[in-house]
Amino acid sequence: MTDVLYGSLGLIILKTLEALGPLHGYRIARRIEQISGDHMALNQGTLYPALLKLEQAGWVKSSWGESDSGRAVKIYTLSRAGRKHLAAEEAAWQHATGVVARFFKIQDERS
Amino acid sequence: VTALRIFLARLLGLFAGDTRRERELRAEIDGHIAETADEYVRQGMTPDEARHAALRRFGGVTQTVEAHRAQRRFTFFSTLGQDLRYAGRTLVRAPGFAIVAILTLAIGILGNTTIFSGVNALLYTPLPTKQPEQIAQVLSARGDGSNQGIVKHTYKRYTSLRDTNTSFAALAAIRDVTAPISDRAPAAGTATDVGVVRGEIASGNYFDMLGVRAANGRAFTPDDDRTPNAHAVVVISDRLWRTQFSADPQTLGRVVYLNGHPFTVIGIAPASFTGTVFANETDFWAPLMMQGQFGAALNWWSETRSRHIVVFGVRRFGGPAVTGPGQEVGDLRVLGRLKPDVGAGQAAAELTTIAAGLAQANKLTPPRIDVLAELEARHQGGLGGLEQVRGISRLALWASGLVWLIACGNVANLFLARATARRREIAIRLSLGAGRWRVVRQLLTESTALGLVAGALAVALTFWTANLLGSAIPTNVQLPITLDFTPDLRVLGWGLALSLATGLVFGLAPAWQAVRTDLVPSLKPGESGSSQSARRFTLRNALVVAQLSISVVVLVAGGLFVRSLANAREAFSPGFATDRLVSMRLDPGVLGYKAPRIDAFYRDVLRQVKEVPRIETLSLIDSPPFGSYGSLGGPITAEGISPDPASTPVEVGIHVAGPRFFHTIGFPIVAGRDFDERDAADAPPVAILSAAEAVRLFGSDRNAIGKRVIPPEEFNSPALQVVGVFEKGRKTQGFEERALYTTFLQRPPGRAMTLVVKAASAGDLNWLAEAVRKSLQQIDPVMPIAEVRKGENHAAPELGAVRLTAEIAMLLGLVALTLASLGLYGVISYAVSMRAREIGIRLALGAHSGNVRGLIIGQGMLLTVVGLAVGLIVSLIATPVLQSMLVNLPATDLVTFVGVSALLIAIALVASYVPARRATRIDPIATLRTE
Repeated sequence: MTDVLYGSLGLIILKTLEALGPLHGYRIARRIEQISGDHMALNQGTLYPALLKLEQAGWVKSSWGESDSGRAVKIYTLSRAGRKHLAAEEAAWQHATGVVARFFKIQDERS
Repeated sequence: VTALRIFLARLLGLFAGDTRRERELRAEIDGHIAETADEYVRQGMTPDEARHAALRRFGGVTQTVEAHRAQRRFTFFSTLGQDLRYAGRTLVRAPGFAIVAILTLAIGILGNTTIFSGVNALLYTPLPTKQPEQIAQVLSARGDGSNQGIVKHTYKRYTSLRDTNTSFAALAAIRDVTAPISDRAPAAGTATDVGVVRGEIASGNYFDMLGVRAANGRAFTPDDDRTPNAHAVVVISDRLWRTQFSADPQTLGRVVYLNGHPFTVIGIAPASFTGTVFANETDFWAPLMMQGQFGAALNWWSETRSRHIVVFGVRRFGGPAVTGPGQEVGDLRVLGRLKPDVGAGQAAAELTTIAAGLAQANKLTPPRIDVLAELEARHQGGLGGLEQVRGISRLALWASGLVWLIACGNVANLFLARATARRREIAIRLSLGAGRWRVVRQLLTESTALGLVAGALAVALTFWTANLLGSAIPTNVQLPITLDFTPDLRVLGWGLALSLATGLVFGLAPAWQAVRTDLVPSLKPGESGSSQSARRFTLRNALVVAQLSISVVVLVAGGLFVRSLANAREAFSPGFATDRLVSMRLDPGVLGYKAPRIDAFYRDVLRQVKEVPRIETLSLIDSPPFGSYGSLGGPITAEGISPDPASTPVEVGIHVAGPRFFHTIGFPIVAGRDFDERDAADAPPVAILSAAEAVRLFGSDRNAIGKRVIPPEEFNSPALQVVGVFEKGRKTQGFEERALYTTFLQRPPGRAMTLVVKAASAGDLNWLAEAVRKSLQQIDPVMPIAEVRKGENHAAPELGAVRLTAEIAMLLGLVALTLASLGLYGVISYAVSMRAREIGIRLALGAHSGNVRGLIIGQGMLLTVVGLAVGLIVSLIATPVLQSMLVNLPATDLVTFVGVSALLIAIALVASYVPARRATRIDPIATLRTE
């Protein structure tokens, strides 16, 4: 399960940024944990290479800012390209899960 | 696109701000952990507990940093650097191993790069023109279907071809000349600042047809080529501009003296353009209308050089003899650009028809016109045609590729032996957690580095060997091309690719083996992993067997060509011994000399060159029995006997020779005598007949002596008294049966003649040729000397091709044999050292040293016999491919196969005897004590 989620970590991050606006790393991690209801044992450290990859792809931008507690932290923002990419990926994901779900339904009917 | 962007970002990561990024990441992680800790504190933990919990929650900080780093840049390069440094250290620690490996590989690669630079220069270097593949030569071949005896065209034929054909977009004519050049008008006796340069006197459309523009100034056009002798303009080469005029920008508009005539420099050709003779530097171009300034006949534009010209030369082996009326012979090469949709064959058919019409009008034999793509034409008469060159190239590339494989096999074996020694090291690295792929990569880096060092060495040496090869290639001396085999970028690329492949090919086997290492036994002290050595041995043995069989294949090819060469010497013999002959063509007419001066010059030549040491005899001939030259001809009759008017007149070649010509060339005089000084201008005019003609006219050799013959009318000659009859050599090919010779002392030809020199002994003909050249330069320092032939050059060019093939194949065969036997030696030596303990026990138990020797040699012989058998079978299957290149020899020649087998077994015996002897010297006590 974690494997699947790891592969989609980038997508999850993008969605989080879309929903909540600019965030720093700790906030992103917390948010993911909350939403997944602690079903995803996120190794928080893995977030950073994933963020770097997104940045290299041009889907997020980063800048230094301040956290609520006044610490210097890096704040990540979804870029326009990132928004577009997310929309495309989301549609594809919905489509794929929809198709798979239909197959699960077939099995239901037989039993 | 995304992948590309990530790639670029990583690429940037290689250079920019990497340490800053690292610092920032640290700060970011610290912030993250602090935030988490804050929250834990809020939940009621002590700060210390909270910090630890936060760290746990985060996961491994170091792993994160590593992963971040990996995403940031290419770990590939840093790992590569690591591996290279490690490889360097290991190799330096074993310098003997490294040197042997590098030298072996360098030899393997060197063969390939050398051959490739030759092939590249000969087959893949187009003429420096626009769309060179459209350029074709128009050749007039002799009507008998042979490819020898190609004759040039007259101006009349050129213009009629140019104006009526529909196959060519443009057709240009070129006259190749050599001329003295000077920047001031020549005065008598001053020749100090004069150089002799090669030029092309070309029709006005020449530059336009080739698509070449002047780099400076302008090229000449058809407007510069309208009226004979009226366009004294010249385009000079970049090279000439730099050497003779020190690259002076004021050169344009200056007057230079070519052959003593003033010409105005109107343009400088681009540096890349060196004329239309492949691989030959042309230094100037002048309009065709200026031919008269370069020794052409007075009315060259109207003459057809009409009747009675018999062309002869050494014909291709087995071709039919030629008789019949002569052909038209001129001085012009014709070169054109084919229309895009017209094939060479179609163009040739059209031009043949046009030329036939013209020949008919002049009552001459219609020529066969060939249109050859430039690439094909450039090899005409050199190595015996494009197909020959392609065949030799293919063979040499294959053979050198096989030698390369053998070299790789040797080094792979070295590496395997060393891998056994390094097994402990590799096992330790594996057990400490190194990935198997990581170890393979390390080993491959090591072998690739070695391959690249060897490749660099080989490429550096190629600059020397390639030119060595270039000078060994026989070229058509009548159209001299100086082959430049200096490696270009393509050769360097080839060398690089080969070096990389080398590293992979010989590195794979040891690397593959390394990762299959069984860890536990390798780590035990004193355990040499005997359970494993059996398998390892098979791999090493298989390599040696492969090497031996490959070397058999290369050797068989070499042997076949050496045997074929012996046959070729017979088959292509010109009918006289060539091993002591040196000849060169002299053409005083090129310098504008007129008849009396030309004759005086020849007299001086005979007098002066005689003084050169080590000469047995020398003479002159206008149309020598080698190469291909036009000679005059016509029917001759015996005095007092009127020919039967019903019979067709028989064409006889009529030549002009110097004193002692027959002795010099080596045609035996069967009756009467050779020419000598008695046949002076005021003595009765004399002639020497060929035996065939003597028999036809007078019934027998002896009968002809003292009789008189009457030359054809247009010779304006009195009846000639026959003083001698000669027999042409028994095996003469293509040399005409019927010939009449006169002496130049009585009938000065007033044109080009060939000086033939016979050395006192077969020896250094290069030295002799040079000495003769110096002697000639003393007579006239600017006299152009062309078509220098030495020894074998006097025979058919095919002989040169066969000799070159034999030399290359045999050389590569011997290198293959040497490398393979070194491989065998290495494997047997290794076996001896591995079996030292066993041998020690055998000796301790009382085995004779002879038994031990037999054991070891037996092992070597087993490998040899298997390799030999495989090699012979492969050869039997493969060699028929060579059949077309062999002269009178079956590709399955028994002598070659038996000889190669005997040679290989003998060498293998030596290679295994040396380690076998070492085995008998093993001290049983010492080997047993090491336990």
